[in-house]
Amino acid sequence: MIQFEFLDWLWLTLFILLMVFFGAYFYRMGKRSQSDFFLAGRGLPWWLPASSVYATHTATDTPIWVAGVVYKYGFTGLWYAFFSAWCAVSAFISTRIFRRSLAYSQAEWQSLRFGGLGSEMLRGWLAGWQTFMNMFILGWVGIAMGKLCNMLFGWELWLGLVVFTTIGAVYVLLSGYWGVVMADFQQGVIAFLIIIIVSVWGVVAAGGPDQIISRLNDYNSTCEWKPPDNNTTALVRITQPETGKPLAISDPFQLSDSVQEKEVLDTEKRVRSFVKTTENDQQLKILFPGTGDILRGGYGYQIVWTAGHTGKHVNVDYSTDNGTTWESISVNHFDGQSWRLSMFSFTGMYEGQFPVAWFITMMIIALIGGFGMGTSIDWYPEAQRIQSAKTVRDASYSIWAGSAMVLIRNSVWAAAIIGFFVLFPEIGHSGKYEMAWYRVGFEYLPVGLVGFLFAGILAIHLSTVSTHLNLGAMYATRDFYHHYINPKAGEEQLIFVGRAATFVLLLGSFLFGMIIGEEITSWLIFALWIMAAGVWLPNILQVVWWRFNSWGYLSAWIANLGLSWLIVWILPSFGIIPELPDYLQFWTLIVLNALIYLPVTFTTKPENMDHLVAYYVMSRPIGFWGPVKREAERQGLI
Amino acid sequence: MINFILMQTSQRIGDPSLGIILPGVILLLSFVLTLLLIRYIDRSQDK
Repeated sequence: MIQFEFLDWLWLTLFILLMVFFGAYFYRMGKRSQSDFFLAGRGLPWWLPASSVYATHTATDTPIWVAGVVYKYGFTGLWYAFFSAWCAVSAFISTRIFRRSLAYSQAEWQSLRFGGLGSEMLRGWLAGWQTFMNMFILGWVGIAMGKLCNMLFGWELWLGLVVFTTIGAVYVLLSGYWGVVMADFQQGVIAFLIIIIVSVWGVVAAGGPDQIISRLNDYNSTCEWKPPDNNTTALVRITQPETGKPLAISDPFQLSDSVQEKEVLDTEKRVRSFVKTTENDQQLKILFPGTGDILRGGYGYQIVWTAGHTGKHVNVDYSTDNGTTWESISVNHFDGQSWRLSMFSFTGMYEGQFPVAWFITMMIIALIGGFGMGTSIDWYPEAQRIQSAKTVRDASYSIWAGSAMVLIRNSVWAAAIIGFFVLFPEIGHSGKYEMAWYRVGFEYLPVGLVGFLFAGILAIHLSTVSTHLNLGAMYATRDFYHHYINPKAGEEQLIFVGRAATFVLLLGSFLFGMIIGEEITSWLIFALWIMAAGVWLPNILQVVWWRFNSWGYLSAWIANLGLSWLIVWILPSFGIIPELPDYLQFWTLIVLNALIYLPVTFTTKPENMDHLVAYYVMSRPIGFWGPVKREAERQGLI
Repeated sequence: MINFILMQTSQRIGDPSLGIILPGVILLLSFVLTLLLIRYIDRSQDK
């Protein structure tokens, strides 16, 4: 719990008043037409959607996630968040193609790109999926806010979820995308500056850049470990990766499922002193765990050993049968802590937690993904911003600048997280160190700035919530209601349905938020990344290859729904295939899916040539469009 | 699930006046920039 002083409440109140003041002004902007309600009349200069891209992609859970990977992997962990770089390529390729099409949404674009029954089925599928996904994301970020309010003020989880998501809904209901994009600008300014301030405080609290480097060079080695949920005696050992030769074995210690919270905290304090001890031991020793230590099963700890004896890497194992058999904790783990300062601390080509193969996969996803549409879940809100820009050039600049701000933001966060590690290197439980950035802010900022930090978090939350409410409502209104139910609906009717859909999304997000539990992170990774892996390449092919048709795309989606479950969950659980690292899951799904959608594409007819020519003339796609281009030239259209 | 036992100690650093100056400056900046933005949008729509 945290105590707010008068100054904290003052700044928070002023921020909310500022929001309400401008919210009332934005109201008159959104009620003119559905183009205004969903795309701000397609008249925005590049820097406005750019600030919206930045603000939308800074949610309450984003610092939690970035803190988690940077605390665990050091600056190398920043590559986890590098996927946003797809925008840098997209800005000059798929962004331009999409903006020229004038489609409101990705679903609408596909009905321009593909034709016939397949196209109709695709539009319905994408409209339903996007409405659901936006509700899911709203529930996820909403409950993250609920958890934060619980931590700060002791509120019930539902209260933080309902109150702050509802505030976002009010200005979306009133002013639509105008309210979203204008408030994103206002909130983006506050959020960007408070992120920089907290990060500066984090670095200063750790003693400044020189002290951070010097301490990391001095600290002992650590390795995160979540012991099994057993009541037994255990051992930990360090071995040489090449030969398997044991370098040190710990004294026996206890695993127990009945360790109290206070004992856990006391143990962590002792671990901190072990990490920071810099005596020149003559030989490698495991400092923690050891005799007398009782570790709680299922809780994360840091194993500590003396640095400077092992060369670059070690393997870390544990045993619960007095050393007869050993289970791996980490392969090719780094010695010392200075590796955290490098962005290229890999654990081998294929081995360990951070192999080069993973890095290469991430680079391909980030850079090649920019040729396609929908290769990242972020594409869908991006697409709305692209269409709201006043020209193709403005659309390009906005996507490039917005994602550049996101990457800069990640680096600013990372500096604070490294500072936090120097202060608290003992935390091995991910749920705790993921809160590093928030802790730096709430524990080190002076009175007044604490309240303002909460205002900044509110700004971050509202910009994300408002975007997904408006985006989900757009798919429900344009691509579902208008396309399938009432194609003759007038402007006023569509705005009314847009508002009704926003309200339904709001209620649905409360439900999702309350259902979401502890396991959601792994489900989120599965839903957003692995489940999308099989359609990653089709999302590029639909942009760059004229012969790829709606049946190929649909078959890729259907196949991927089945194959992703098989490869990730079902086959490994029966022992038919080993549990693959995520980058191998990605490539396996890419190959297996291609074995289905490529034959489907070639055994079904290409899209109607006149339909393709109309699309080509309007969008001017790049890639393999030779036959369509020649036909367009023959008809004298280009 | 986030572990809620986090706020163990507060070690506030920096001059207390920063708690007045920085939020004040940022709020003012946000207010002025948004006002300028609204005027810009109004003018560009009038055209």
